[in-house]
Amino acid sequence: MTLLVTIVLFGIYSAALLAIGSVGFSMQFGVTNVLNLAYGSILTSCIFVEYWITGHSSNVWLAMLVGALAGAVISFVIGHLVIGAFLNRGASGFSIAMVTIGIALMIEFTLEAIQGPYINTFSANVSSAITISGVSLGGEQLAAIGIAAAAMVAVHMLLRLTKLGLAMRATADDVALTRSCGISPTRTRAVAWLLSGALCGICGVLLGLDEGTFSSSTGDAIFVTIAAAAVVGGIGKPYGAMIGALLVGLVSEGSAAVISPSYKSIAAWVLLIAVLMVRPQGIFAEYASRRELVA
Amino acid sequence: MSGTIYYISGLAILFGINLIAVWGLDLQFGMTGINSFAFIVFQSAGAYATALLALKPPSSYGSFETYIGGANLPFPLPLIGGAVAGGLIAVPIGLVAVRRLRGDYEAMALLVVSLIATGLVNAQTNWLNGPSGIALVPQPFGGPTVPPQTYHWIFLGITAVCCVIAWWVMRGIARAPLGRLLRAARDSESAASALGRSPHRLRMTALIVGGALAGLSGGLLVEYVTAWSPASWLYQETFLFFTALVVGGRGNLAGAALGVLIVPIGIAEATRRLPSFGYPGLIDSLDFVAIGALMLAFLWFRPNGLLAERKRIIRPRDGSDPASDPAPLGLAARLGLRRAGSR
Amino acid sequence: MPTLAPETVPRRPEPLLTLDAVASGYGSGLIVRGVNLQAGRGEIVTIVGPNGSGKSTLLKTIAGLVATAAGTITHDGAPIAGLSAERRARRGIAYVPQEHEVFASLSVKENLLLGGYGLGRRELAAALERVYATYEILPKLERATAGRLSGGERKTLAMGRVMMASPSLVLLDEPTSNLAPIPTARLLEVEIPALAATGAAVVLVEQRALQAIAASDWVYVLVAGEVAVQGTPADIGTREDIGRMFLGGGARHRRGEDGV
Ligand SMILES: Nc1ncnc2c1ncn2[C@@H]1O[C@H](COP(=O)(O)OP(=O)(O)OP(=O)(O)O)[C@@H](O)[C@H]1O
Ligand SMILES: [Mg+2]
Repeated sequence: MTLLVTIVLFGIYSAALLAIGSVGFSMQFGVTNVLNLAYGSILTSCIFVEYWITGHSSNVWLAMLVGALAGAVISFVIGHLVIGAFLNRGASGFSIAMVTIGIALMIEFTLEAIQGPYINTFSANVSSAITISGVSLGGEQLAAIGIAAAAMVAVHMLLRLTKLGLAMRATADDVALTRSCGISPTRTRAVAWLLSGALCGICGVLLGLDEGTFSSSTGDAIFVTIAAAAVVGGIGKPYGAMIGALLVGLVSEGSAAVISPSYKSIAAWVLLIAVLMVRPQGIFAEYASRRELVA
Repeated sequence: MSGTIYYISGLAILFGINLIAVWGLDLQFGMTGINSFAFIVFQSAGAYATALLALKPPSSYGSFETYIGGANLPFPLPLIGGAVAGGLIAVPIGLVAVRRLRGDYEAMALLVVSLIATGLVNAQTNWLNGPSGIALVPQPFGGPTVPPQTYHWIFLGITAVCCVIAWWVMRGIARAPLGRLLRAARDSESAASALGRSPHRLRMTALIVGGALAGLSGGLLVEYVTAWSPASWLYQETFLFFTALVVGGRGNLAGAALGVLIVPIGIAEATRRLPSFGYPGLIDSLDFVAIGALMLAFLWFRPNGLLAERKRIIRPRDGSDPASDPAPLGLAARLGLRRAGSR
Repeated sequence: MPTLAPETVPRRPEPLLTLDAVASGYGSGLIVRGVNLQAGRGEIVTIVGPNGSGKSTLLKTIAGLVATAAGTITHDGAPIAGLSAERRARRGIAYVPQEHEVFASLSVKENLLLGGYGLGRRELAAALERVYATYEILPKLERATAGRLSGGERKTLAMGRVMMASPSLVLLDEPTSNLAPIPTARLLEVEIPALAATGAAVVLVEQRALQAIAASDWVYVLVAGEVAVQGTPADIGTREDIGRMFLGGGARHRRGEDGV
């Protein structure tokens, strides 16, 4: 019983953190059709910027604000300016994957060059905890769940209730038709990069606080788990990413508890591969997206 | 002076080892178009296999490390085992890679496969000694009595022989109908099907042969450096090989060689000789920044690399002139170099 | 280009859209070459031609989704060949593609709102009401996902979306391709003429050539990317070589056959 409660509680908690990152990743893919393999390094750089600006022990809210701003700026520069320039030249999907990995390496190793081979510590002061069936969740963890929920509601309202959100969903559906409606995809793509960067930053800061330590390669492993949640939910579909995050969270916590903690991420990644092999459009996709995922 | 010769001969060994790997990648990616982002796994499989075949059982080292096996086979059996392992690991990887996903998706899937492999080796400490890796791998014809410089010459000889074998394999494939089929499968799946070959089987063939070359390269590398651990095969190393290929030029043997000279040797290895500054490892970090930048620069300014593959033109039936769509000419063509693999 | 005897040339309205020696294509090859075409306010212009002759490419070129390689396109007195598709849409050029004519993942109402994206809040509500009144099935389907509609419903939704912005030029690529005979007749004989009656120029690409020709004011026959013949429906209907052009098919046969 306690095992189950542990899996579910920590699964929800992992899912909450993941969901922030994977909703951003998925939405950006949907609107821009770019598989951004540099997402993890954007996440890492947000933690660093936050750490440099507010120090190792800070207020969660301030930390998140700084992380979100840093993420938005970095993501915009990388995605909209650099990758956008390659796209304007008609680069293939694989070239873009190379470009994003190249950028990821440059960021990751620049950070490593700056920080040295050290691991930084990081904490924020949130107090109190709750206990359910003998399993206790700390204040940080509760705050993270709350923040994730708030972020999801905000994304939902943007996408469903605003004209901009409608234009973003239209761009994700069909770029040519969107342009024929007089909507510039450049603008919706810019917003997608900014917004996904902000979510990435928030996710990074919360993860950094959660782990308590971070280094220049923190984003690598997390990125693959974020991508797993996005792909499981059907990449390009922000709502799918929320469910995908929940599934991936439960699977990782479940395998951590049942097999061994070292399998926590591996289980999520295997799930990612399995879904890619069997249903590349994601397990929750109602009907296959028009966007080709299979060559 | 002798230090310089030692250094240069060492670089030559690494050049040969990397060249075999990059040729293997060229077969998979350059010729066949598989976005083989799990490439380092092939090399690593070869390295571990060679190590396990060359080492004695763990107990003979006082259980200093734990691993499965320890066959203590004589040269060149461990190297052959490495190549076989590289080819065999292509089968599970091929399950992911032959399902044709969109290019970037395929790249991500294989990248994740590579991370899963590293994760498994790290998690299962009794298979391959986990994160600490395997050390004390015996060197062929080596030993305490052989002076280091002499050993370098011996190992350079071994590497050269392996390079010739790899070159012979690559050239054979490029000239054989198989080479044309692989290219057909890369450029258009239906073209390969039209020639009566299953594109899946062609892709699997390229994965296996390329994987065997990578495995051979890994075997040589582990015998040269005598140790292997998960840190030796992070995803960055795959990217290193890709950069070599993009810089040098895909689809031709000379391009791969030039790329290896510039990227793994010129940037990653040669800079180790620079007077060190900062903390240990700073130069390595900066190397990767440079490699990432180089990749971006080439994709922007010269996406076909320095020595571009000559377009093999199949004249369309309707008599339209294919020459009106000029293939980009590479440095090789301008220098009048003859590319291996083209008649 | 063949010309008709001067006495038979009917008067055409002042052109709203003029294509002058337009060429375009994908990548290096040109699909459409040297096309001159006009459409006036209130006029229904039909483009017919064999499969693969470049009809869709021509419409995309006018809509701005395929770049103009040569020639000029004038809309409402201004050159538009250099404008992006979205700028052209904002000028009042509406386009319904041959396939993927609706946003499949969005609801019917959202599709319509996107059609009126440039409108203010109040105009938008009025436009929605107008479109709902014209196409009576749409209000009932308001919340349905567009991708789940039947082929005919999708065509209707696409028409409704385009009508939201009260365009001055409407480009329709095979709007009847999924329709049953009765809705086809309704579209060609009632809805499109009603659209033209509001003063919009309608450029129509049709497979059901005879039916569409009958409903239009002017017809262009596109063969292998070039205008082979143009004229009034009556002229085109009586020419014997039209059938041969269709049967003859695409570019390969065109060269040897200069009877036009
Ligand atoms: N996106 C594209 N890229 C490259 N070539 C294309 C593309 N779309 C169409 N073509 C080619 O352009 C030519 C003309 O196509 P187009 O769709 O304009 O013909 P069409 O007259 O509309 O035919 P149909 O009656 O079948 O709709 C064809 O040979 C087609 O193969
Ligand atoms: Mg068409």
